Formats: sequence, structure tokens, C-alpha cells
Amino acid sequence: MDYGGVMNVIVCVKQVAHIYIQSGFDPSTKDIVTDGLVYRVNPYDETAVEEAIRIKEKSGKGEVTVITIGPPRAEETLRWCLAMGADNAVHIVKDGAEKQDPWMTASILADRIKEMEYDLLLFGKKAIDDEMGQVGIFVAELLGLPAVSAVAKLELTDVNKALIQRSLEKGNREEVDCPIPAVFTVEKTLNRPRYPTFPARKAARTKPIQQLRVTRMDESLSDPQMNIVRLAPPKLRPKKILSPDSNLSAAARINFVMTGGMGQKKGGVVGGDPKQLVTGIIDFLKEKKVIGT
Amino acid sequence: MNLNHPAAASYFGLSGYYITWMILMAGLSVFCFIIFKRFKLIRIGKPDPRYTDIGQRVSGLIKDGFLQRRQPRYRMAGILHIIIFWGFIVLGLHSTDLLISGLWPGYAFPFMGGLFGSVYNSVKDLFVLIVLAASMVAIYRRAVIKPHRYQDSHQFEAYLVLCLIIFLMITDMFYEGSRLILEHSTGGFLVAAQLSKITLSGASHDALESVNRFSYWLHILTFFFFLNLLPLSKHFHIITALPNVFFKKINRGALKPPRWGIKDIDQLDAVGIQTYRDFTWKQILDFFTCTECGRCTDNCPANAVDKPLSPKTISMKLRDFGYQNSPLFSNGNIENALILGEVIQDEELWACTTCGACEEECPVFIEYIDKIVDLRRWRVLMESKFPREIEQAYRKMEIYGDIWGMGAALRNDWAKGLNLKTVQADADIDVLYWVGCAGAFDSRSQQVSVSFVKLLQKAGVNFGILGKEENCCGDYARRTGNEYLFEILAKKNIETFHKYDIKKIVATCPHGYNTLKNEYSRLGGKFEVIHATEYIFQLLDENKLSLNKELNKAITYHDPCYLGRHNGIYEIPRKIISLIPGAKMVEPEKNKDKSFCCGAGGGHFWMESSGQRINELRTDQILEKKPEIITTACPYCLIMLEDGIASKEMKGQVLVKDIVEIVSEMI
Repeated sequence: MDYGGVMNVIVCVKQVAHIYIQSGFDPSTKDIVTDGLVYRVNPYDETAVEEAIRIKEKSGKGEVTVITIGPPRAEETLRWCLAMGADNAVHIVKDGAEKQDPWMTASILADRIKEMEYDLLLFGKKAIDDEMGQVGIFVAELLGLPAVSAVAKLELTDVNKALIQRSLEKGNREEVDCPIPAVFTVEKTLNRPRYPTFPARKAARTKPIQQLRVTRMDESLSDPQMNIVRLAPPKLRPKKILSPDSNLSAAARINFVMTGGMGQKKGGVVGGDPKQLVTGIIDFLKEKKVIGT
Repeated sequence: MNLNHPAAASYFGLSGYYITWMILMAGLSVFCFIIFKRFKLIRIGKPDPRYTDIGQRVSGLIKDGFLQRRQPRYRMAGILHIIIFWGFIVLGLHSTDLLISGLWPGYAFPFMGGLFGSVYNSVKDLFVLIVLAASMVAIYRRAVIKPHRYQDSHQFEAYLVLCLIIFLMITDMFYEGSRLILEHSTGGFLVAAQLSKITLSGASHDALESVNRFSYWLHILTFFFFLNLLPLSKHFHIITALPNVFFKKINRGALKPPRWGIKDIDQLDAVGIQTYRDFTWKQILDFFTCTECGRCTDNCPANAVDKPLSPKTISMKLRDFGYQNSPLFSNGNIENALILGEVIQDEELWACTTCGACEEECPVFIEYIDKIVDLRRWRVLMESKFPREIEQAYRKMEIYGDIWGMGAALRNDWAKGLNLKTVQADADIDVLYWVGCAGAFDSRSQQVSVSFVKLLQKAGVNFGILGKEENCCGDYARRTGNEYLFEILAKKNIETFHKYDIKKIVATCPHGYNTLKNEYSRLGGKFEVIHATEYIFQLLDENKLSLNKELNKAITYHDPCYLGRHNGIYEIPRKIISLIPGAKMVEPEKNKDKSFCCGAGGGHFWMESSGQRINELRTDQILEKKPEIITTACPYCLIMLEDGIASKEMKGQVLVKDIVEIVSEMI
């Protein structure tokens, strides 16, 4: 589909520590112990990057810019996004371990973004480490833009309008339209992020990344709006984090690992000619006591 | 009385000698032209250094080339082939002799007059009969017995060539037979000639002379027809097989690097095979050499469970594709014609378990795994087009450092309470135990790791583990074509090994063992790597361990591909079992280098499978010998076979154990 105009998309991404890694809690930082953690792009943000790249590829015009705030290691996250196909990357380097609440993060981002050209701002719906889901919405507020959260389907109908399906509870969808520029925070179901090719990854390693020090933005920093009082470890549920039971079949174990320990949904498929199909469905409904016998 | 040579006569006013020259010139120039074209096709290929280990190559050429060592693995066909092969060598000399004798009046091969000549003549004449018989049996096999492995082969070519051989033999018989009668010679030990003499007896002098001349010219013409047919058909192997055997792959455990001569993948812009240009010259020579015998496909585990993979067909398709796109009389489109999705389908590519059974069986040492992985490399690294399960595995390996997606923080949990030394605490160790991801994270394989540790402790070995710094070895990434990820993982591990100055590594997992041993050296790894079974055997040998308890059970051993075929370790595990008091060894029919894959290799442990499962088929094969305990030496084989037993609902009746576990129970 041709969107007509140039689409410049900015995606804000976060490097997260993986949640399954049980490294313990450090009371002094009120956070999990960082030693031995593994980091990755927040999967929701990765979906946002993928969507931005698809928009660019479809329109054939415009650029995708990714921004992150984080310590020097967060550069890996930007490199991954560049390998996926983002054109520019901005790294707002934050040294030190002090926590920063969503409002502070949003104000740093907004301060930077307001100087940039864009038609669309994409965020992940939430980060899988702290599950706040606020930054995108705050940025919209600070920039005076409309915001739509939990975007499960995004269609740019013309140059300045988007048709959106939001995912609600229990699989329900809400359809809204929204003028752009706007802020959208996306669901993981929006798309399936690509696995970057080798040439793209190689090229991404040497692409320039614009680095900004956090000090530059200190002036614009507002006070944190909330403070973390305590972080409590979950009650131990060993089954969920242990390796799969060796009594399961290999296939079941693979499935276990792949799905993060979720059991397979029960279900069946009826086959045959129309008559058999009908009987099959009726039998099923009877069995489930949906209809009387 | 000496008979006039057929070439001495004149035909339609033309001297026979001129005719011989004409046939020779025409035959040779057409032949050279075709060979030149074929050679040009090989020249498109990328370099591949195959000139090392000359001693090993020469001995391989003698054993596997001239002595045809792999042929009798299929007994009947093998014997027939050996006969025809040696017949070719012996009779080729004779045909050349016949040809040259028609070039100049009175010319003969040196030595042919003396004792050597008469012995040679008797031998060659015997061979005429033997080859004749062998060719007829070969036709019978193809036409009547119809071995399954010839399905989809170029049958017409096979029959044509067998008929040509028979024709060459018969013309030779009649030429020699008529000569004997005309020369009034008794013929001595020329059995074939004697036989034809009987059929020719009573014929007039003129008729005999015609037979003599006719069979001579037919023989020469057939000879050249045959020669030119070779590079045009699957019988090119008559010319290329010996070179192909000579240039065989020496280090079978190591996959071919993405390009020979590069230090790491970053030096390349493109990785894998997209068009013919991306093959190495040896890979193209492989295509020329395929005889379509189908032994590879007959032993392919994926093919056995009706997956759309047939190594033979891959060679045939790629050869035919090569010939089609580099036609004899025009330039063709070979440089640009795409292979993936056109000639080779993705389903074929991803069905391979890299078990190596095809390569083990191929009488002419055609390589399949490297080609399949090279094709996978293009799909994965250049197009990002591959099964979804694999992508999940890649992400886990890269982010968490293990395919289970558990992460370094949990890697040491299996060793809790074992009082194990980690190199971080004390790097003064004699040997490093490489646990591997399965050994660290899979609950069944953890038991093997624990057994091995107890065993080492009992033997008083000063060993340690890398603990949280151990990372995925990269076998999975490499064999599914993600060379980029493999290099990231391997380099990280090599750095860790060198950081702690590791000299010797022992691994329980054959995949880690193979990768560390055979594939890390190219990236700068310098250390000795041995497998747990080798180490245990050494400890038993040095009396540091002794097997004291009795085990009065029927035990079988399943050869893991990466220990057996890829690294040649067949005997050591068997020797260990034989040292167990009371143990009765039963071998499955497919054992050692004929072992049948468990179905997990080449990335398949983490891939979806439909239809019949390879591990269930293998379990059936093993259960035929009614073992009470199935042993193996690989965490993946262990899981796959245990799963196979479970699917037969025989859990508890037949135990599946790693050899390491058995040994640790017996000490």
C-alpha cells in the first residue's frame, strides 16, 4: 500500500534483563542483582521496530530512528535494531545505577524527540522487566500528541490518519482511528519481528550511533513522580523455572521449553465430508453439554 | 601363418590405417571438447585446499579407489562392480593395444610379445568372460530384482552402458576367435577366444575374415562411443571417481568453513550457496562423480521415514542442472541460475540430520553435509528464511548462551552439592569437564553429568568446570547454517579457555566434543579435546577405576553419529562394555559406521517433526535384538531413544543409559 507521504518513524526501545534469570535481589539498589544477567531488546519494542521498518518498506520513503536510554551496554540493543533495518540510532547514555521512574525517562525522551522530525512515534506496550507501560503515554502527554495503547493492528489509511485495532481482554478488539503524528504503544501480536541477515548485522556493527550524555538533559529532568519502596521476589514456584521433567517425551519437553512451560491447549479437528463434519461438531457440542442429547 | 591386420585392408579404396586415424582423431577431439566444457564448469567453483595429507590421500586412493574397499558393503553389487572395475583396467589396456595396432603397420605394444604378453593375454581373455557374465548379472539385477535404491536413477543410461560393455566383450571375443582360426593357432589359454572359436567353426575363410574385420572396427567404434558417452552421463565416474577419492574430505568432523582461506566470516559479504558459483570445485566434481547407485539414500534416516530428502537425488539434480545451464554448444546461464527453491527445495534442506550415513556409504566419497549446510547458510544468513523453531533457538543461544534459554545464572544448578571445582575459584586443573547445555539443563542429562563427576572424583582426577562461563558450543547454530552465530559463540568460548589456560578438555556430549575438537582450531582454539568414553577407558586402563560389580544383562550400544562416523570412535565404548563383568553385548543390525541416526542431529532436536519419527524407527531396530539395557554416549541420543522406548510403552522393561552412568554404577 502506498501511504503517499514520507513516513519518518521514531521507535523508543529499552534493553531489558531477562525475567527468568533468577539472580537474587539487592536491597541497596532495591533492584535485582545485575551480576550474571543477560540482556535483550524488550520484545514489545522489537515488535515496534519491526512495524516501523515495515511501514518504511511499504511507503518506500522515510527513515526509522531508534532511541534508547541506558548504560553503555544498551548499545547492543541499538545494533540489533539497526541490523533489523533501522536507519538511525540515538543512544542517551546513562551512567550510574540509580533508578529512573517512567516520568523521568519520558521527559528525557520527549526533550530529545521534540527536536526531531517524525510522523509517528512507536513504543512497546510495556517493558518485560518492570512492566510499567507508562513511558510512551507520558511522552505523548509531554509532546501534546494523541496516544493509542495496545495496538494489535495498524493500518495507515492516508497521510495523516491511522486505523487501529486495540487488543482488549479475552481476545476482544477495539477499532479506533487516530490522526498522526501520534504515539502508539504496540502489542507483541502486531507482527513477528524478523531475524536480521548476516550482511545487515555486519553493517550494523559499524553504523554510527549518535551518543548523548545524560548530563545534557539534567536541566530538563523533572523530579521522579514515584519511588520504589521495596522489590519482593516471587513465591517460589519451582515447576515453572525448573528444566522440563524427564518423564515427558522429547517432543513435549521441547514444547515445554519453547512455550515457557505452558501446557498444550486441548482441541480437535473434525474432518471428512460435510455430513461427517456436522455429526462431528454435534457430537462435540453434546459431549461438552453445550446442547442437549 | 600370420593374419593380416584388419587395418591393413582397404575399405572403399581407403586404407584401414587412415580409417583408424580418423576414428581416433574424431573420437579424441569430441572427447576433449566435452571434457574441456566439464572442466570449465568445475573452474567456476570456489577454491578448496585438498592438496594436504598426500600420504593419507594416496593410501585412500589405493584402498578405496583401486581396491574398492567400500563396494562390498552391498555384497552382490559390490562384487560385480569390483569385477567390472578391474575388467576395465585390464581390458582398457587391451583395447588401447588393439587401437594402436591399427595405426601403423606392424606396430605392437612393447612387452606384448614376450612372457608378459602371453600371461596378460590369458588374464585379459579370462576377464572378458568374467566381465561379460558380471554385466549380464548386473542387467538381471536391474531388470528383475530391481533394488529399491535404483529408483529415480537414469536407468536407460545404466542399461546402455551395460550393453556397451557386453558389446565390447563380444566383439573382442569374435575378433580373437576368428583370428585364432585364421592363424590356425591353438590359442592356448585364451578361454573367451576358444569359446567363440566353437561358434565360428565351419565358417569359410572369407566369412571368418569378414567377422574378424567387422568385430575389430565395431570394437574400436564402440570404444570411442563409450569414451564420449562417459562425460555425458552418470558414467563420468569412470573418469572422475579416482580423483574424487583422492581428494576426499580428511577431517570429517569439521564442517567446511563458509569460504576456504578466510579467517572469519566478517571477511565475506555473502555466505552460503545461491548459484553454482558458490560451490567449491570439489563439490562440483562430486556431482560429476555420482553414479546414482543410491546407497546414500538407502541409508538416509530422513528418507527412511519418508521425509523429502534423498542425497542421491540432490547430486543428480544439481549435476543435471549444471549440465543444462552450461550446455555444450552455448554459454548458458550457470553463473546466475538460482538453486534454492528451484532445484533444491527447502523441505529437503531441513530434513537432513547431518548424521553422515550417506557419506559413509558413498563408494566415491561424495560429500553431502557440507553442501546442505552451505545451502542452509544462504537461507539463514542471507535471506533469513528458515523454520521458525530454529529462530527461537538462535535467539536463545545468542541471548542466554544456551539453547534451553535458561541462562548462565542457572547453569551450575545441576552441580549443587557435588563439591565441584570451578576454574574461577581454582584454575590449577589437569582437565576441564565440558558439561554442555544438555548436561547442564536437561534433567535426564544432568544425571549423566552427575555420574561422570562422581566417576572422576572416584578416580582422583584433578578436574574443574567453567561453571557460569560455559557457553553454548555452537554445534546447533553451525549445522543449521548460522555460521555468524557459531563464530560469536565459539570465539567467546575460546577466549574463556585461553583465559584460564585450559590445555585439556573432556566432554560427555559428542556434539560439543566434535565442535570443540574439530571446529574451534580454525578460530584459534588450542587445546586437546577428548570424549568421556575415551577418558573413562584411559582411567580403566590405568587402573584408576575398576569395574567391580556384575551386570548380568544383555546390553546394546547405539553409536552416536558425532562420536562414531564423524570421529571414528567405535571400539572404545564397546571395550568398556566388554569390561563389565557379566555383561552380554548384543549389536543392533545397523551398528558402528552403519549406525542409524537417533533423529536429533543437525538441529532436529529442536525442530518440529511430522509423520513417522526417526527415533522410533531406530528404537525398533535396536529392540529386534532384545536388549535389556540400551546404552549410548550422547545426551540427545539418550533422550531420543528413551522417548522411543516410551512410545513403545516399554518404559521400565528396557532401560536407556549413557555408558557413563553404567560405568559409575559398576565401580
